Amino acid sequence: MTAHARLLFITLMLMLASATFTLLQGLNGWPLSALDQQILLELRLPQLLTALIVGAALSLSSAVLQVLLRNPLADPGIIGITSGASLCAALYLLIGQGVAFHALQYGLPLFCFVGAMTSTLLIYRLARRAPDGGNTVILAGIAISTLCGAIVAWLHLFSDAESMRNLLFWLMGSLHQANWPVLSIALPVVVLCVGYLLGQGKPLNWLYLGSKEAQLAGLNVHRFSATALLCSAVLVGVAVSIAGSIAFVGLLVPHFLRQWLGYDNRIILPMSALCGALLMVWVGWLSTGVMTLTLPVSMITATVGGPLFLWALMRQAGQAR
Amino acid sequence: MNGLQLQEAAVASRLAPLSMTWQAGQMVHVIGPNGAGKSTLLHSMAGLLPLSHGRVLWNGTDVDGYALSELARQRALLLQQPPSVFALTAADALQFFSSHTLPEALLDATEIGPFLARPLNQLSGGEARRVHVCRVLLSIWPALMAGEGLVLLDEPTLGLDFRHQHLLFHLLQWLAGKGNLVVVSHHDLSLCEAYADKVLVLRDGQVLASGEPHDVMSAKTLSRAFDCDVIAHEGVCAHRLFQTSLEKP
Repeated sequence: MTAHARLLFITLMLMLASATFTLLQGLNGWPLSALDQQILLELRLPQLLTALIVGAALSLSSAVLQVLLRNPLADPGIIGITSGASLCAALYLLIGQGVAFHALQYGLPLFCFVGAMTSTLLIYRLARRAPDGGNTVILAGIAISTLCGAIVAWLHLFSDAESMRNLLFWLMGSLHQANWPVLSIALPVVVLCVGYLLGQGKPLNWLYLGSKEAQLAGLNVHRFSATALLCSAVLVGVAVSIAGSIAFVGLLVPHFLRQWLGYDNRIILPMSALCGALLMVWVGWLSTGVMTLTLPVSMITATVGGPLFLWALMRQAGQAR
Repeated sequence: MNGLQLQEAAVASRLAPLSMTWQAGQMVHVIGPNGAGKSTLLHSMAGLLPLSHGRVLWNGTDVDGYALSELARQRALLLQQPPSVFALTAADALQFFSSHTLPEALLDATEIGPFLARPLNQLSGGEARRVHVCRVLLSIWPALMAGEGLVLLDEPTLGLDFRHQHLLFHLLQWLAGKGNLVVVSHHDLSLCEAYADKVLVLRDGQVLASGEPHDVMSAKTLSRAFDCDVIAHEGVCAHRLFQTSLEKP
């Protein structure tokens, strides 16, 4: 077994152990009582699956986006995909809920997904027209985020206190929003996209040196970039749809993995998916299992992730000197 | 035929229609002032830049007719590229573009062994250039060993000290001797004189002269190409020495 395969195996085992612990922690032993069975099936399993999906989706899509956009700091939040989803969530929560989609349990996830895909499409069209695709995408992302933020701020003016509280809670992220009907759609979509992206380590390695080098190495760069970007956007769309806006996971996990393991995407991509999922399992446990009240997920990820990211940047700057 | 044929190949507003045939086993030097069309020519020969007119044939087949992966196994192009924003090591760059171990011949010619573990964006310009030369040659190494490769190098000597320039051209000469076609652009008239089998002089996207070095590299042609005074000194050493200055003859 190679060192990389061993590392993947250990991380997978750690993730399975953590998942089992969070599932069974505090239950009253076998056989499970009817109440414990209900807690397990209706609360903990959906929460665990949400954590796994969100962590893997955000980390893997960021690992891919950082190479595609040739920016080590790219993540769905920075390039505006999350903002598009947030705007649509705000539209649904503040205006749409009472009007047309009240009976539709898929309303919020569906709106978020549409928002994520629309902003991705817009960014992609801008990037294709611009000569310097990577920087243009970042700038377009900042513009889209600002615009979406402004519209959400205007929406606040015209909404009631209940809707505003719902939106605030959504914007801070939660692993408790997903239910079985939503997860049964999200899971196969995520498995398909993750499966595709995990196999793209080699062409993504070529893209480290730019699109011309990748084309010379035999890659149809336009087709590949469009497909990989679409898969990344779908993953982000699904993650934001089921858990709201979750900060820093996408940015931090691949960034730290590249500092630790090097740049080979054949190991970075699977490790990003596994470590992202593992991290979100722990964050999910922290948000509910430690204190008596449920903490917003983004509050935990940003509190831990912000200082860690600053430390990583300072360390990198020190090495470059 | 084995080799490269340019048939009225043109790129709009950058390269006038150009017809040329270079046999496999030759080393061709492309010279000319900045903006003459050297990079455009190499990019279009590599199939990276679409032609507005004409075609490029590699071993009798249109370059556009090759599958990208098939072309990637036979043709290498060294680009004039900006440094990557990622801190890839030299070893990463080699490993990502080829699964072959680094051959002795490449290691000896580029002498990149001491800094294989260092990030590319922390190397000097010349060191990084040597790594990229090594990388592009390694990417088609099996074809080069079979004498079936097309090597296109756009200013490979940029930032290289003269020892490494000579090491590189010795390697390219050895590769051409094996039956590969090597086309290299640069600005050094002495290297051209010492190593070229054929020379192509470009100016403003047009061919000013082409053929054997001794015929093409006259003081008059070079002065015209570079808009600069060029004097060729003969009999000083094995090759002519070129003296350049801004004064017009």
